[in-house]
Amino acid sequence: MRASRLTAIAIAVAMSGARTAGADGEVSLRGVYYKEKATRVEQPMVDARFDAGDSGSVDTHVLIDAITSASASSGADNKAFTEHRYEFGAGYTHRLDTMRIGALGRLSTEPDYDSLFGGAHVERDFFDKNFTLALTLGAGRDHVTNAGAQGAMTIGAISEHLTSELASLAATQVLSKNTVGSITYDLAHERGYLANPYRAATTLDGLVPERVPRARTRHAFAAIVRQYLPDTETTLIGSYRFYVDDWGVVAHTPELRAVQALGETVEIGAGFRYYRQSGADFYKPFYETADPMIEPYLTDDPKLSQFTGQTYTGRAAVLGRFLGLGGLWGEARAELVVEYVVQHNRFGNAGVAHVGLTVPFAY
Amino acid sequence: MVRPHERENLARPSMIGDRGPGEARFRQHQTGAREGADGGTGEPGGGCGCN
Repeated sequence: MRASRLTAIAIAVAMSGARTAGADGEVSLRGVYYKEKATRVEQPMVDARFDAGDSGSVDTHVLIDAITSASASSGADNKAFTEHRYEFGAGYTHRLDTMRIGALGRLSTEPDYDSLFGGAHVERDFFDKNFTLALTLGAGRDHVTNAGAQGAMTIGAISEHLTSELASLAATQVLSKNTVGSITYDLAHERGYLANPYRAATTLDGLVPERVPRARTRHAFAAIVRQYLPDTETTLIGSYRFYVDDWGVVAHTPELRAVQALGETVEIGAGFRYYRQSGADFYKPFYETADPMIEPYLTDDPKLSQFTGQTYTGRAAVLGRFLGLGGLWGEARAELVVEYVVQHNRFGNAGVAHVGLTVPFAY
Repeated sequence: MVRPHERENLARPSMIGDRGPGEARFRQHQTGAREGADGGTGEPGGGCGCN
């Protein structure tokens, strides 16, 4: 969570006491492997954060998605193909006494989809940094084509745009010296081409290109509480998100995680996430007609159906000191995250593995 | 009111964010491609053709 991360920076800065004159930062290298029934994703990424002057910090990332899919909704014609997506992102945050202000940008490009997003955020501490309010505003512009269509999936050239706006308000409260909680409300509005240019719905009149509304308003309310147990050096994290939109999708997402320190250099963790959603008002597994007067909207999108899912997560992390390294390499952190996603719809189950290395640096 | 000198445990990495930015970003990307719901993170979703 951006707001939580900024609040975390504020807490960390408040805890760090007098800072030395040098600047510092960290760079993270991460590789992700994702596999589901018809799709495989390999994503190497680099994240960097570093001080900029006495009061600023810069976050930046670059990643490549290598997506191999035989799914019709990704443009394939029952033959696996690989597509690459490139994403660049950067943000700057400036600290002003009890406030932090900043801006962020993100650019993503792939053969059939280009996206540009920009935003600004402001955050202020109150009551000796026991309470923090954060506001993020942003807007994006996407260009969608069906340049990846293969064989029978070709339904004529599509070149459409999608505009999105995001407003997010978050409040974080220190509840005790071992407890912190935050709530977030995100309002997102999208208008333009919201369909998948490769997806078709099944009707008695045959396969028909997906038709969905050209606007969508989404509301997400999230709450998270983190509790540290000093006696066992355990952190318990509980969260819940309520989501509703004007397409008729209502979702509940509770999640529990635990992080256990094993000495000063090793950490293990486990998590469970439950997901439940209702279907969109216009979703049907099968449409009797494609007549737009009777069925203005048609979709075969599994994520617009009613379904439930569970995600199980395990993680382990070690610092370089565990391996006998010293200096900044001693503070480097290697991490392994493994996830198994159970989803009761046509997407089916998925497995995810992350391997990461975060190295601090000073300059 | 928790004073600054009492916040040692609040400054632990697991209390600040147990997921790095790359992990959080991939997770939002992954769930956004497979679930109808999105948001609640203060971060923009979407941005790709994974719809």
